[in-house]
Amino acid sequence: MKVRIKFEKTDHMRFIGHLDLMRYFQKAMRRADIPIKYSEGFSPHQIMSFGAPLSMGVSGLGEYMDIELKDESHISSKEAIDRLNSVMCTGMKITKFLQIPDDSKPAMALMDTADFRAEFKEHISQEKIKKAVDKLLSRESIFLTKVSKKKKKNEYGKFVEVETTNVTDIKPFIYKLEAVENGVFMHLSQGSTNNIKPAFVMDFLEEEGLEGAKRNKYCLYRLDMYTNEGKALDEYGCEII
Amino acid sequence: MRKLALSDDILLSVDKPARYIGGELNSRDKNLDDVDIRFVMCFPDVYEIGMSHIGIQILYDMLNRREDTFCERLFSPWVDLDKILREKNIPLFSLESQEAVKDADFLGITLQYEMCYTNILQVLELSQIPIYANDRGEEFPIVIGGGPCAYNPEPLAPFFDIFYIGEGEVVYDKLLDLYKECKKNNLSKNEFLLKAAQIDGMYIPKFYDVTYKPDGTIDKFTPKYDKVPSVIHRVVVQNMDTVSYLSKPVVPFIKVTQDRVVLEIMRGCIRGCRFCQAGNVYRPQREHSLEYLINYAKTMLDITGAEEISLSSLSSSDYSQLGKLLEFLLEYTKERGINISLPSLRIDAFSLDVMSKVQDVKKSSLTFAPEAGTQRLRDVINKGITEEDILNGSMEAFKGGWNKVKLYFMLGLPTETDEDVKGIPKLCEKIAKNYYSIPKDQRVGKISITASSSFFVPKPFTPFQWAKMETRDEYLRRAHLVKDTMRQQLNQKSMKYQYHDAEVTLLEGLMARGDRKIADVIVSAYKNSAMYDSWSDRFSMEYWNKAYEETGIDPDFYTLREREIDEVFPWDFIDCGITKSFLIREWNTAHKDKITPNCRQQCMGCGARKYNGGVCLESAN
Repeated sequence: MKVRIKFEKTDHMRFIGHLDLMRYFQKAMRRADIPIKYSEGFSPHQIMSFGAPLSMGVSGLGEYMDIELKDESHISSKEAIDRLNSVMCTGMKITKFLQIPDDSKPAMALMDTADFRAEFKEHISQEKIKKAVDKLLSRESIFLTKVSKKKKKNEYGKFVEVETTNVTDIKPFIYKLEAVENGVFMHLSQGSTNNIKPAFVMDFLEEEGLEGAKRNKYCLYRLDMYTNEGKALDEYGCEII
Repeated sequence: MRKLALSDDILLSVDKPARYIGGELNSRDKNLDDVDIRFVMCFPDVYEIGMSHIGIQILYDMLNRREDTFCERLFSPWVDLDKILREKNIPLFSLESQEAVKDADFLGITLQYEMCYTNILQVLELSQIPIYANDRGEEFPIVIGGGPCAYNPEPLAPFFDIFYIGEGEVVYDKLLDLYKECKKNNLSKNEFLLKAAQIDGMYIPKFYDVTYKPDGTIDKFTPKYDKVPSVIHRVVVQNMDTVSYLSKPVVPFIKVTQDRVVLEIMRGCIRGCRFCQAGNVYRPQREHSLEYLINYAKTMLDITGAEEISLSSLSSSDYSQLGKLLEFLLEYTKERGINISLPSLRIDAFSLDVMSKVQDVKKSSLTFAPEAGTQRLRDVINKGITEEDILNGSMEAFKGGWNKVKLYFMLGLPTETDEDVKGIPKLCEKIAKNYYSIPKDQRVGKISITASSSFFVPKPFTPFQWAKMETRDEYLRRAHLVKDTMRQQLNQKSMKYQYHDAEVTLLEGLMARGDRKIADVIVSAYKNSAMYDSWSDRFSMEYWNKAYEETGIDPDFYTLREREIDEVFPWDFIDCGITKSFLIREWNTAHKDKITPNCRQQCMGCGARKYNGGVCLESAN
């Protein structure tokens, strides 16, 4: 049985990287005695996959992971959530444990957009925030310049680092940008193509004169993730009774 | 939200911020206003090393069981954060409360290896605590040290208020009760220390005077006050099963060096290898019962969710219930997808059977620690392993499909000759020859033999505490002799040889048997930027050579000199069970190339019998 788990990763856990989070959950599954399925082969590992990794320093309120349960096992959503939460550390909380269809694609592949909220550490008036947001959205296009270094073979067949500059208009991929109480709400395109980092949007707001949008002057939260049908990833599962 | 001492800015700019945030599963959280004693427990190396150490976890668990005490953890900040803390003048903080270490009641520092001594100064300095005990006023924590290097604490004497000599479970409660009472009655630090000196195992260095002879050796080591004992008796757990479990081990977020549950099966060792400090100072050998360990293992695995478990002890093969314990673990871990990491066992039919059950035979290698290349030298060091054991054991393993062998040796052992040195590659050759005597269709490809050697460091409280070390050049000559002789062997292509750094070894030797004068060298080297000396990429002999110049200390006096039998050693004031007369007897027996029976064969009257525990009580003796 395939299961999608929704969880929160907040507080000091925002400094735990993606690989360490995986190791954390592997141990947590054993502590909570969740009947998780193991892969076949010489060194069996738990069948477990995560949604898109969170950047270091960002909190997540609607994070996802998919697991598989052993065929003969049964555990109710409530029981699983209770057991997992009793072995979590501060900053980690399981909110949902849902059965998803067997042919369901992994959370990582399904994610198309995500909601973010930036919260300013020092109070900024709604008016000021709104002004910057409106100014940014009134631009015809929002050009993001990305410089990437790639290793390429040169004429002698040796690998050398080549800098490539990529300019894209990200305005079409900012689906929503709103001033909220002492912060900004964003609904952004995510996934393998057109992945818009919320920090980029904040950088542009800083350009528009919003001092609080400077990196490290705000806390960032990823609120939830959605598929290209506009549904949250937990809308595809149902509770196990 | 948990309070963090460092801003997001800083945390995002350093490598592995999880080293500094605490909050791991099973880490404790107490309100500092609700406790009487705040005890910061420090392992002076990076987080991943320190969190792999079971001793810290045991003490953390034990001290936090006290409602009046909050024990927190502290590790050396890595060099990236070290720089930031200095630049921004941020005082070092403990992981749990994230509050400044300098405001704690105690700063406990575990002394696991000599090469961490400069890191102790780093921790003190970054905490904004004066490094010399004499410069610390009432407002600063009591700095207390313990662990294996506390068996010669003298090079560190000026930095510490107290050294705890012995096993942590025994008198910490007494010490903390006393502290609490003194604090309540507003007694000074000095008054507290005077009372603490009355507790067994507590060594307070500033209460002692050391005078030296014209030749630089110690003349007298005497207490300054009547009430202060002239001998410090090591404190020892008599019955291991009376010690409560490590009930809630902290589970790190980041991958640490030993990412597994560690089951301590016994303390001490019956073997009496003459070079080994642990085997001598932790006597007598005391075992946990099988029932204790089974419950312990279950609790620890359930509570941590760890995917691997290992056993910890000296000479694990000597644990009397090893077969039954492994049988249980094999069964219990198989159902749960948990790995067993085996300790190095004596290679015989039993251990090979166990190894084949838990490891991939193709990948795993056999490990032997002959320590010396010839039988004569192995007898000198009392290593009870014979060439026959090694050849028979490896042959049995080859028939079971193994083809990788690791061998550990030491160079520079007392009485070593070039014949002994050449014995190392010759032994490798015999093993290889043995392997190729097996018919081709019954063996698995080529054999691979890796020999590694370290250079011998004489340690306090061993029969070799009188021995001299060799010069750097002589060490290298012997290592090259191994190498060159190896190249002459028939099967040399199947052999590899590695050896340790000779300079680090000599430095280790200086710290191990140094006196109080060495403290100046440590301070001077630290000021020359020595830190993380156990990390080969950070170590530089330049810092130390400059320190010798600045202090006028001659390291050769401590390393290259063979001691007179009646010389007063810096550590002579410690009574750790084994008597000096036993050690002298062993030193003399070694020079006759003779071995001494182990504790199970015959009691040799080493002195540890007075603790009334473990193997000393077995009726056969």
